[in-house]
Amino acid sequence: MSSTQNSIQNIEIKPSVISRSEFLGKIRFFTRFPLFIFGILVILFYLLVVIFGPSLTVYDPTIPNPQYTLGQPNSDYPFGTDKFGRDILTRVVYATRLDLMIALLVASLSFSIGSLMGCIVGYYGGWLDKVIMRVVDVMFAFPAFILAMAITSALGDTVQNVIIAIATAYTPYFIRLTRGEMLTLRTRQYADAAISVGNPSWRVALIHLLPNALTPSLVQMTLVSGWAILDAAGLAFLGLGITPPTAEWGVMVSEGAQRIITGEWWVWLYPGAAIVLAAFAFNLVGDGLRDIMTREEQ
Amino acid sequence: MEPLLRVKDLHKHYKDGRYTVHAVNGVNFDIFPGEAVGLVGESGCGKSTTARCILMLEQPTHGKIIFKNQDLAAMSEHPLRSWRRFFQIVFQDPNESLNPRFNVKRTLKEPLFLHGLYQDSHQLGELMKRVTLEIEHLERYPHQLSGGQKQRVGIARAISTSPDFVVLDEPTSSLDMSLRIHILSLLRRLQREMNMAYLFISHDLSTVHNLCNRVLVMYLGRIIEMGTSEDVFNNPQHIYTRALLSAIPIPDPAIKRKRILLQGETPNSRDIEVGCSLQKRCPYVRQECSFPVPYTDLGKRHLVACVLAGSEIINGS
Repeated sequence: MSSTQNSIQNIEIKPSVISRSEFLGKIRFFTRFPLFIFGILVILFYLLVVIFGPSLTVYDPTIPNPQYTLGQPNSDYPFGTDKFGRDILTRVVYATRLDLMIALLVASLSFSIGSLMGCIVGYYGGWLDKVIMRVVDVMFAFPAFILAMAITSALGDTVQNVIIAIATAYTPYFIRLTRGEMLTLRTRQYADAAISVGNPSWRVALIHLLPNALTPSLVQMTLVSGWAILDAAGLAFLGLGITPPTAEWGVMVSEGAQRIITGEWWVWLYPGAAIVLAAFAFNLVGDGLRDIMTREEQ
Repeated sequence: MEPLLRVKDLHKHYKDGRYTVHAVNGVNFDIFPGEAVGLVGESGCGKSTTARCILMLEQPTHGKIIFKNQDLAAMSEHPLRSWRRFFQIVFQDPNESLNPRFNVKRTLKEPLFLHGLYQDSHQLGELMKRVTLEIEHLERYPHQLSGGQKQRVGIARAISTSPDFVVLDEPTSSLDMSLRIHILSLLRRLQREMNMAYLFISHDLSTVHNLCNRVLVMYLGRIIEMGTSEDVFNNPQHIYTRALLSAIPIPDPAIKRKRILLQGETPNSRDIEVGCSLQKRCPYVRQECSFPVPYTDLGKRHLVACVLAGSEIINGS
């Protein structure tokens, strides 16, 4: 009797033990990519700042305070104040919102437009492919930042135009990636299978093949998010796109740059650090994703 | 009886730099409703290209594919799409032919949906039962299925629209022996139940002998012998067919048999010659071989493209 009870218990215990060890195995798998985890945590922190930051700050990001200009960091103003007496911490927090929004919009815009175009030209080929790929080659000849600069100055200085400009500059990356994937996918047998059951060609391209072509573009999307932050801040630093008094990291670094010699380091250090950390985190996550995907393929 | 499919003077040429590769070079044959026709030949002889052209997965360079009195090769895309429900294909490698992001349900529902045949999920259950799969498998993705199960999903997809004609492109060559037998008996049962015609492409001659009523033997883009399975396997008249058949292993070391060995290698299909394509390798080659060789009909539609067909030299050896 006791032996049957034992065996029953054993049977009942087994599945939970397996699932726990599987769970631990998954965790262990990800701990082999510590930088990836670090990047994810930093981005999560930024997202928390985006969501809760503005309701936790007590100052306004744009209203000047003549009583305390260029103030050293103290308990009231942990990051100090700028030349108009605005709290740097508050401005960094509000800028996180703007810069992250720009990054995500740029990444999703260039991803969706680029992947769609890459899918179409890769699947159908022909003259359209030739024309679009030549245009892409020309765009690749310029650094993305220079291209974004040119487009912004042509369109005018608004947040919307900055997003359009940077997204345009990065769209060729996605066209090229997706096109390359589609070129190999369209020779796969399941493409033929899709045709032979009666799919029209647009369904073969968009529904059967495109979802299988997106993996490298998803990695690229993370990397582009990081680059977009650098570019948006870079444009603002040069006085293009987003202009003062908007709270934006690049604008703030630009204001701080005038203070480097006079010694007010807090004006430029904190927004600068925010840019570096954000771009760094997105790049770590992108590289980590690429490593994880190649590791899982093996 | 009216043939279901007539292939008339089918050519498929590929440009390879300065050369033209003649993958399929003037193929003619008929397939009647409900019959199983084997297409055999060595790798690279144009078997699969022929099948892909028949199914209009590739545009033939020249020739007619007359299916139910309609020329598929001349049809525009839209009507061709709706005709596709009547002819289907089972591919060689089920790992390659199933979309990794589609579960079984989606894979099977799609052809029905595209041809306006989908009513309810009962149909899918019925289809799964037909190919001896469980209903639970409907929710699975290809990577969760075994090789044999994947191939049965491939078969289920092909028969879902009740086609009249199915091309089986080496459907068992990527499976192990025990599964092979299972899949073959499944295919035979389905053919009986649904009255489909098969074009069975294979280089496994004993399987073809087993499954097919008629056999086409292909060499370098041409059909060099065709006839009923008995005629071709028991009384082969083309030197190439003889060589091919003498390469089938007999599982009895006591039986001795004369092997016919061809000299040299298979020529490249871009060096296309007038006359018999075997002329450089044939031990019995003669002058007539360098002129176009007509088919000799040995009765019961046993056609052989060899000047020696039916002669002493062949039958005496």
